[in-house]
Amino acid sequence: MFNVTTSVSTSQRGYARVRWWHAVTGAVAIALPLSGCAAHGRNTVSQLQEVDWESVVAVAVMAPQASTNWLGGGGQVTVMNRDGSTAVVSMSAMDVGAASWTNHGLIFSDQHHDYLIEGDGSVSAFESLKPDYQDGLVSLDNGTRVGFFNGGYADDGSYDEVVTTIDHSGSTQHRSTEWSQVFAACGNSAYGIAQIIPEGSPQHTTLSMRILLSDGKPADRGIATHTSAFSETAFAAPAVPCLDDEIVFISSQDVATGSLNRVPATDSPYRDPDSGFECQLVNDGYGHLSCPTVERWNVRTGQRLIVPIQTTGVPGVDWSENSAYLARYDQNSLVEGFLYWLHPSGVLLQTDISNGHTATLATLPGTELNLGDFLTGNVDYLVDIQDSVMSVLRFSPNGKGTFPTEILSYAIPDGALVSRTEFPEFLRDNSANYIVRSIAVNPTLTL
Amino acid sequence: MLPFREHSLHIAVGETSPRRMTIIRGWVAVVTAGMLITSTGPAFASSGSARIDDGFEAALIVLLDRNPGTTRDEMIEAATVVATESGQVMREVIVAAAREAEAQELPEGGDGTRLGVGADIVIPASNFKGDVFYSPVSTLGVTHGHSGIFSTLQTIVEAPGPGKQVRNTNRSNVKVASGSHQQVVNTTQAKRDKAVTKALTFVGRAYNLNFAFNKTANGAMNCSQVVWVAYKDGSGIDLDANGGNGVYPIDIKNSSHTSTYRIVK
Repeated sequence: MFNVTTSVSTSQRGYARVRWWHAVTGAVAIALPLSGCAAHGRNTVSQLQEVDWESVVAVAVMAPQASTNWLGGGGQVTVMNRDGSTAVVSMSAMDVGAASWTNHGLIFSDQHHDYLIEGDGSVSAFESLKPDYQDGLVSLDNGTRVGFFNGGYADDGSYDEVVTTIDHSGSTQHRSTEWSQVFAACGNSAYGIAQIIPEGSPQHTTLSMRILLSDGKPADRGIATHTSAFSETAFAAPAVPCLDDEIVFISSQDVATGSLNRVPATDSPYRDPDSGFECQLVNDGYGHLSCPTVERWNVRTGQRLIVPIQTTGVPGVDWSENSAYLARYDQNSLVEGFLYWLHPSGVLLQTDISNGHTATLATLPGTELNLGDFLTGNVDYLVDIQDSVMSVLRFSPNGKGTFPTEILSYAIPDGALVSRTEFPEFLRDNSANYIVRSIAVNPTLTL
Repeated sequence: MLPFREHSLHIAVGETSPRRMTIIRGWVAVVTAGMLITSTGPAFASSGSARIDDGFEAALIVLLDRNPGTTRDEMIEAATVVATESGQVMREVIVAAAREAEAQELPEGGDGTRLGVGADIVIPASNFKGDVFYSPVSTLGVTHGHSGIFSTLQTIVEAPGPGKQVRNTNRSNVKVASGSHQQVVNTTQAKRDKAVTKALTFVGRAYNLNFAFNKTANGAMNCSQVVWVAYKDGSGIDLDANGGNGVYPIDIKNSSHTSTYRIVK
C-alpha cells in the first residue's frame, strides 16, 4: 500500500466554456450526485492506490470515441503488469487521451483532473477542468508535463487550445489561440505547429510554428510561418522529438495532379516541376498522390527543412496514403541523427534525417502475413520509447485480429528484441466501445 | 419525516442472477433515498424513473448488464436521444436493443455485446477539401449514422455526439465503420471551400439533440446539421435528400448533390 497524497489545486484559468455548455446540455450531461467530477477523481485515485506500480510494465489510455458512443461512458487506464495480467482504472472520458511516464512520474488526464503517480507510488489528482479532447502531451527537461486540449473556437472567434502544465506541485492552465497539430518540447519550452486556414480562402493554408510555453512560463505567439511544399502538408503527432533546437516530425506532402490518368509507379522518384522537390511518390489509387517526408523546424531561426523519406528496397514496407499520417513515434524517437519510428506495415524503421535514407531496425513477427496498413489488417500499434528501447503495443482493436495483445521491445540502434510480453486479458478488460489511444512504458522497469 | 415506501419491481425474466438482483436493489435504494431527501409527495414519478412495464425493466437490466459502468439514467437518456433521432418510442428502442443484445454472440476475448461500436477503421484522406463522409454507426442497435466534412484532405470538422463540442480534428483520430461512404459534393472547388469556411465557424459549438428541427446555423449543432448548414449557408447547396425540417446523416448520403467515390472497408 502506498502513501496517498491527494492534492486539489485550482487551475489558474478555469475552463469556463466547459462549465457553460455543461449547463446548456444538462439533459444529456447526466448529473447524478454520485457521478460528479470530484467523486470521479476520488474514485480514480482510490483505484490507482491499489496498483502495485513496481510491477507495472506499461499503461494504456483509452476512451470511447465521442462520435460513436452515445451512452456517455467514461474512460479508463489499463494497467499492464510484468506477469501479463491487467487491471482497469476508470476515470471520466478523455478522447485521444495521452500518457507520459518519465523518471518524474506517470501523468495522464481526464476532463476533470490531471493525475500524477510519482516514483514512490504516491498518487495526486489535480482539479483541472478542460475540453475532453486531447491533442498532445510532451515532457520538458525539468520533468514538467505539458498537455494540449482542443476546445474549438471561443466566443471572440479565436481558437481555444487549452494548455496545461503539470508537475508535483499541481496543475495550471493557459490558452493558445491557434489549433496546433504537432507538439514538441525543447528544453523547458513547448512548441506547437499549427495549420492556419484563412477565413474565406482555405486554399491559402499556412503552417505556423508557435511557442506555447517559454522556459516554463505561459506563452502563445507565432515564431515562423511557411506555406506547404506542394498543395498541402499533412501532419499530426501528439509528441515529437526536439534536438539541437530542431523539431522533427513525419509529414506528407500532397501532390495535386488533378487527373486519374497519371499514375506513376510508387518506387519512382517524383520531381515536382515547380519546386524541383524530389520524393518517393505514393498513390492511393484514386488519383491522389503524396510524398512522405521528414520535416525539421528550427525553433531559433524559424527555418523549415523538408527531407523526403526514401524506403526503396526496404522489405515489408507497403505505402498507402495513410502510412505517413499513421506513423508511430514519440518525443524520444530521435537518437544520434536517426528518427526511429513504426511504419503501419509493422516494420520498425530508422530514418537518417539528413537525407531521408531509411533502413529496417526490426520487423515485427508475423509481418510477413502482409496485412498492409493496420487499418485493414485488424491490428493497431502504439509505441513508447524509453532510454533507447522502443516498445510496441500490438493489439486488435475489435478482437478479430491475428495477433495476441503484446508488448514487444527492441533495442536502439541494433534492433535486438529485448522482451516480449503477452497480455491475454487486455481486451477482456476493456469496454467494446473503447479506442486505445496511447501507451506509456515504465522507465524504471528492466525489461 | 417523509413517508417511506418500498416499491417491488415486477421483472419479466425467467431467472434473475444474483448480480441483477443487486442492481435492482441498488436502484431501489437510490430511488428511495431520492424520495426521502427531495420529494414532497408521490416523488416516484418525479424522480425521472420510467413507469414499470412488463418487458421494459427486464430489457433495461439486460442492457445495463451488458454495459457495465453505464447508469440506468444514462441508458434511458441515450435511448431517448436515439428514439428522437429515429422517430421511435424510447421504450421500443430499449426493448429492441435488449433483444438484439441477447441475440448477439459474444466476441472472442470480449466481455459483452458491442452495442455502440463498429467504427474501427481510420477514415482515409479525402480527395477534395469539402468532401463529406457518412459512417453507419449505431447505438443500442439503431443505426443513426454519423456525418462530417473534411476541412482539409487530412482534417475533419464534426459534431461527435451528445455532450461534445463540434471539433476540428485530424482524420487519424477519427474511426468509422466498415461501409462508410466518402463523398464529393458535386460543385466547384470554390463552393466547397466556402462550405469549409462556414463549417470551421461551428467548431466549439455544443451538441444539438434535436435532429427533427436542425436546419439552423444558430446555437448548438449536430453532425448532419454541421454539414448541411455549411453547404446551405456557405454555398447555397441543399444537401437534404428528402426535404423537411430535419436533416439526418443518411439524408446527406442520399442527396443528389453528393457522389460516393470510396466505400471504406
